[in-house]
Amino acid sequence: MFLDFRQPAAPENFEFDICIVGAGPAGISLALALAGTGARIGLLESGGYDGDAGTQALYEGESVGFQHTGLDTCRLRFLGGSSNCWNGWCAPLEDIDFEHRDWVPYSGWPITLASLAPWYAGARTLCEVTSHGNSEALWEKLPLHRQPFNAERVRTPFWQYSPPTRFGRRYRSRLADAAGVTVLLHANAIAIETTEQANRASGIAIATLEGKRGHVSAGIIVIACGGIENARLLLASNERVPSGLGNSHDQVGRYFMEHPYAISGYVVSRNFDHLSTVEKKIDGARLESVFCTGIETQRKFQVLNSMALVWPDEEVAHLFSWGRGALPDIPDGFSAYALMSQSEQSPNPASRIRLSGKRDHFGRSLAKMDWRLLPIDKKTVRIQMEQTGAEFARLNLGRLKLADWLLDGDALWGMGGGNHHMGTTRMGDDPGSSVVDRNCKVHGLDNLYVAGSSVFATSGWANPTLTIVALSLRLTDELKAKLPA
Amino acid sequence: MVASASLYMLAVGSAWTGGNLFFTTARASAAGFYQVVEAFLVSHRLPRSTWCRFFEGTGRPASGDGAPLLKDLTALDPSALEERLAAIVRADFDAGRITHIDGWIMTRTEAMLATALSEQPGKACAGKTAALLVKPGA
Repeated sequence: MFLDFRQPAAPENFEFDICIVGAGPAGISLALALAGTGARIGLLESGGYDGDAGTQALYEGESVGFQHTGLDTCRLRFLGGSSNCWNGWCAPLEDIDFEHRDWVPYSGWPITLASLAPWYAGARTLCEVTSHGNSEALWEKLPLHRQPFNAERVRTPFWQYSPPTRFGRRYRSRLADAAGVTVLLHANAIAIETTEQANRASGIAIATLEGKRGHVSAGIIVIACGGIENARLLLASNERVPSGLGNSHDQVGRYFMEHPYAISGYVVSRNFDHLSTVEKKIDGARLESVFCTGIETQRKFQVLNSMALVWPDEEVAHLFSWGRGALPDIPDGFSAYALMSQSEQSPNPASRIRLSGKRDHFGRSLAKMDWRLLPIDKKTVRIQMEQTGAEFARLNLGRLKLADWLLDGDALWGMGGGNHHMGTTRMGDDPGSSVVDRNCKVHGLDNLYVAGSSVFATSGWANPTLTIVALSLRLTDELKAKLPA
Repeated sequence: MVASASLYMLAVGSAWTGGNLFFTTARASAAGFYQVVEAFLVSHRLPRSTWCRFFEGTGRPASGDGAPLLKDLTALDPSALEERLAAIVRADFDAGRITHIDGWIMTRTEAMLATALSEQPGKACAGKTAALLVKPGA
């Protein structure tokens, strides 16, 4: 059932067994999976069916660290959340992403890929990608020549492309019919309220832009507002605890991670097809192989996980090199193609989301993003390009030239963010270095949970949406066990 | 950078020409040798324009072992040279003996060969080296 909280006929106060704040991929996946359990499920959405300027302005904020797109332009605030601007690239995290790596401070999840794997199948269904998976074993199914890369240096797993699924539009009718589910539109979560001891969430203050106020009571509360907003909501819910909820160890908002994204090199080649990252189809599914840093290379050079693909349009190489002097004269018979890299960022407690002194329509502090990169983040890209370039040359596929920014000392000017916001309520067993436990429950609060990429302890190279949905489905089992019999 | 590049040129020049590798014992076969080397590098898609940039970069080929290698290669019959070069370069890649000059990824052997080639009269960079060394801002 959908309710527009702005309507006079809509009640002001609600009571649910589970209230989910945020109707993006995480929140919608949770609500659909909890439907029919007999529980009363509330799903709060700040916006409506479509975007509107007033609601989107609630995403404004400050960026005071490394260059990043505006906080109100890198995410969307209406039914479906940022899936409304998603490219649809799906790949799971890898084993190494969950490991503690000695050369990556703060790395390591309290769970393994194997323990998350059962939920990736359901996530693929919701993201509308096939069950072919993403591993290199897929090459056996492809009627194409696989280049014999040295896998210690270069791996070639696959991305699968979601249509992309716009979760709001795609699942609107299912949500409307979902047993026990109430989707409350235009209901902005102003703050999470707690008991006097602040060890239990008791409810949520809600409001419309037009001034209507209300309250939601719930036995369990899940915040699923995205990697920036989850931290903001916890920090801003500071009526009883000045530092914010779940923040007794000053961890909320820290470890903000992106997927550093860059044009990192140019390949000069006679034949683009030999570079083999072009899109392929199996049974109608769209797949694309990518070049990933070998696991042994990551260990040997002490770098992070990373991915690259060759941009198929030669014009793109010239476009990106324009004005930078990066692309030299191309010999007759050769073409130049740009290599785009997307890499893991090292968890860094100084990279963080905080509250700004500026206020939104409701008087709440806006988010202040202080994104910071470390030398290992640049080294990761450089080692990947060197190893990929060496393999291209060894196999006589083409020659790779590093992008100028990689040759410019410690400079980071070639890098940008992929609008993947992660890590701000990271998962861990130690409350002193994390915000949620292995079940996504906020340390120190009995009934407050977090869903979404903010719980990522590390990011891998893969786009986060598939893992966001998998973690949400995994959380569903935890919540079902907590429901009254 | 100009100073370091000049010193480097002196060092490399000493190793290659001072040792009379091509200009005495192998002078007669040098042309044939470089034809094969050039064809090899081109066939391996190392753009000719890249060679001109070797002296611009801060990186440099492994000059220490360049002379013995060149001596060995020039002793080969040109018909066997390309195969030998391919084997050396492949072994370099297998062993991770790579470098980059001005951003171009290559093996150290390739870098050394291309540097030598670029110094030959009539080749891609002949006559340009000096200009590069005094390039404003270099």
